[in-house]
Amino acid sequence: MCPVEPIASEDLLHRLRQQLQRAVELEFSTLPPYLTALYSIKEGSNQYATSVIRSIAIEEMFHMTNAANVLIAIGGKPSTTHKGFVPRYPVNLPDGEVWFKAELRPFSRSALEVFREIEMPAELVPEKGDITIGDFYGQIENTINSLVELMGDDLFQIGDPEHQVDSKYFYGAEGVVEKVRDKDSAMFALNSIIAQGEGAPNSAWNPSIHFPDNEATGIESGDAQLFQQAEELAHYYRFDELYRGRHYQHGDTPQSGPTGPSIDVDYHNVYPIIVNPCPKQYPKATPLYGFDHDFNVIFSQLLDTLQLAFNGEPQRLVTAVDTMFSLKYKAQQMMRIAIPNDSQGRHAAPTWQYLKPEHR
Amino acid sequence: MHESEHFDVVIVGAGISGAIVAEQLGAAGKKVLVLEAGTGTQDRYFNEGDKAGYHAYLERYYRSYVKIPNAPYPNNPNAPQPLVTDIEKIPAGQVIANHGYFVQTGPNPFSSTYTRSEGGTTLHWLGTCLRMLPEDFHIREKFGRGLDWPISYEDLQPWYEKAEHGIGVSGDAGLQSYDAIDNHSVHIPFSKDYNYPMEQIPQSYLDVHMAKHLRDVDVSIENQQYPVQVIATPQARNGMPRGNYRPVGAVGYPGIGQRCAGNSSCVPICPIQAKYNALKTLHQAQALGNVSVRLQSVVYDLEVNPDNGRISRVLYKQYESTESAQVEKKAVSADIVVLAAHAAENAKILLAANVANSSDQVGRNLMDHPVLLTWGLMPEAIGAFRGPGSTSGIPSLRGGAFRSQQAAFRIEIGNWGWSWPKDAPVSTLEQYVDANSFSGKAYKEHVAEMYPRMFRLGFLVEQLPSANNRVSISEDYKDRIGNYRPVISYHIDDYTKAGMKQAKAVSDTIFNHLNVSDYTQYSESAPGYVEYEGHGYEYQGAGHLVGTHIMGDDPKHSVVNREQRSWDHPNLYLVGCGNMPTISTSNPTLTMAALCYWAADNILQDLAA
Repeated sequence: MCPVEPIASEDLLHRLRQQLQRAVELEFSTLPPYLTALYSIKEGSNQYATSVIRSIAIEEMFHMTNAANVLIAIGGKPSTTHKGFVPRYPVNLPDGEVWFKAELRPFSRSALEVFREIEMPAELVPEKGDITIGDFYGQIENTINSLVELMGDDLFQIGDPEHQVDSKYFYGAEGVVEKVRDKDSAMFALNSIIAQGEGAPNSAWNPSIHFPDNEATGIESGDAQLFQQAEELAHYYRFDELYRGRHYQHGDTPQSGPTGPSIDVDYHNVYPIIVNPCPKQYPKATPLYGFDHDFNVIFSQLLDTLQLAFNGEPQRLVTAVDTMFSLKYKAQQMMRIAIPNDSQGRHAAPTWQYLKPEHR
Repeated sequence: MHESEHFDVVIVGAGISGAIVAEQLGAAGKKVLVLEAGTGTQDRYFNEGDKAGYHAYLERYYRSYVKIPNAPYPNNPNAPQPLVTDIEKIPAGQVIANHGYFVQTGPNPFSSTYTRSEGGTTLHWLGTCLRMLPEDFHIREKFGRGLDWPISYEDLQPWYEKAEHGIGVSGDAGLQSYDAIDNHSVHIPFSKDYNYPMEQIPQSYLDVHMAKHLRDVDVSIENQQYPVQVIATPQARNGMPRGNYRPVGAVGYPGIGQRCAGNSSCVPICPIQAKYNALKTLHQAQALGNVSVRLQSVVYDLEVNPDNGRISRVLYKQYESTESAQVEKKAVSADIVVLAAHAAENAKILLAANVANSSDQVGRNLMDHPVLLTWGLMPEAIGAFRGPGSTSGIPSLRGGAFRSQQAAFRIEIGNWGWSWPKDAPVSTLEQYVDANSFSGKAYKEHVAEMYPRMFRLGFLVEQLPSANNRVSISEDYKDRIGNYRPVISYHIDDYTKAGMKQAKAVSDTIFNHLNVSDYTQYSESAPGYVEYEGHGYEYQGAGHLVGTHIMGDDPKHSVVNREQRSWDHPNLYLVGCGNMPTISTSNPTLTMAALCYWAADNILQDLAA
């Protein structure tokens, strides 16, 4: 009997569960900023920008689900309803990226600046050593490697595989969720998060060298290689395209920036919503207070659904589709309304608060 | 004369039939040209400059006040299409020629329409994908009615499977075999271990409510008891995939439409293309590089080589703009020519070219499902106006011994309240504010009280083939660019009317069991009003145009053989619902798709020979 190993692996396992819970929180924390910008776009305008932000938001949900599946596999219990799960914006992302703050903003250049920071690859961060989402997942992979040395693939058989989210709930153009059974499938799940966000990992890639057609360069999302889906750029570069109003084309590098055809971006066809709204902005007994409350009730129901879906009832995700529609309609309803007597003429926006059942 | 362009295969029509045949042949390496009479969106979801994408259809739909099935799809005088708003009563002995595309000679109006644009009528279909019953292929032999097919259910079964995977159908084979229904006539054998590529679309709250309350309900028809049983309907609508199947999203925007999101506008348009349309198959066909689609090219004639009876050239008129009647006449040739232009349009082309008609059956045996609607208010809210247009039906009366005396029918359970019979909710304002002077709070309360309880059934009644129900052409009736308009003669016979009478009786039984207050009213002034045994009924068109160039065993009485090849011309294939000798009770698209996969296989064998 060897007393050292079990203790070490218990500690490591505890650490890994904490890290993966943090990953779930990290992925989730990108959604209110992305969805706020998405819903602020007047319907029918900015079609390309709408499709990009929507696609990236769905991929963030994919990432959250991947992280949750790894956590479930190693016997953890993802939590989406505890106090603090939803951050108060502006906020540093939960992975320790202290060099920028995520914010709730209308679709605008300043919003896109923040979105680029959220998705920025390690090669491009302002200060060497600034942590990125990719670095954060690198740490998780290190912990996994240490544990696999101790336990092998048994690590991924602690939780009930029936509790994981199956591909039938998440498939299609934004990735395919696969259940985690062993180290390979766990690494696949985590690597696809990095690839979609920052670019396909390619250690041989030199960012200053131009690339020929059809060759992996690090700026693709990896969707073609990982899921046999249409090639698209990683999140950072798709936001950068919107920010610069121009497409990347073959031959471009992160240094050159995009030099392809221009993109029609219309920042005027956007509701001028309040930045980082908080509940006290809407006085009690006013209609906006009621709208925000209604939004938060739906939002809370969504988080409750996720909590159940990640803890043994994945079929709950079916009705979550409907809840997402309700959430969108309510957000758009608020954003159409100008805040009474606001000197800057700003419009309302939802506050993304989790309400305990007794407060709904 | 200069040489015409030559292809392995020329297909006339870029709807579902043409798309399937093109995709299958293109995948086998054949060079294929598809000629489409209407305009199209090619692979665009969004508009690109002045080139319309699918989004232009959506914009048109949102803007249109009357949201009829063709509302999103522009009317094009160079390839006109029928509209449900064209339909009117036909006074005895008269011809209606000045109201829409069809010329109608009656006695009953033909109420169904189709879409002449790239993608065809699948742009606005509901997506129902039912298989036919085994007995449907032999109703002459079994019941002394209609015609027998030259093929059996067993012959078509593998092609049904191919079609269900090709177009993407959601359903549960265990349920769709109808084994659970206590009526052996409707049982449909499925291959062991076979299942649809996607899981069943969730049933609506209404479906579940009805299933629960009708569990023990029987009706008596011709002295036999039949169950009234609710079963989920298989649909070409994306749901959760089984195994490695991957749902196909919107063409030009594949990230959306991966699953049905309940937009509740399937007819006339699914905004995210979660519902199948033929643009998807056309996209797949063209992606392989062997298939090209030529839009705005209206085929008007076929040339026959008198030495061997082969179709030597396909003649078409190409137009630059729908704003102008200016056309350029062109011709192409092919080893094999496939007409996939739609039952009515195929008949028109064949009659205009005077080909394939040694049987004198071209254009004849036109059928549809006359739909009897019944509607009422549920005692409590049942969530009307949500989800796909229909997610379940009552298939237990699709077959039985009674078919020797009266038409069978399938009952469709509508999820959208009174949208079909009463045009709700579009008509709401007109009806309650203008006509009944409701306003303010009273109006809101009235709507909130009524609308969630709205309920309607649709009875798709079988119609038999008849030589007098037909599409013909006349020099007197042509469209703007000189092509024939369909002249339609149509009547509802007593066999179908007896089915309507039975349908209303079944409806009464169902309404009784569900405590529904019946609001059904059939108006003598309505175009589809018919009387039978002293009672009035009213039918609507189902959009299921079937049987204008039927298949058979005998060249004297049919237009194509079981391979779907013209009896008269060895290199001419006809595909589409026109090949179906009887319509029975299933929406015909899935059967047509299955036949198309089979036809493509036959064409490949011909090309190899």
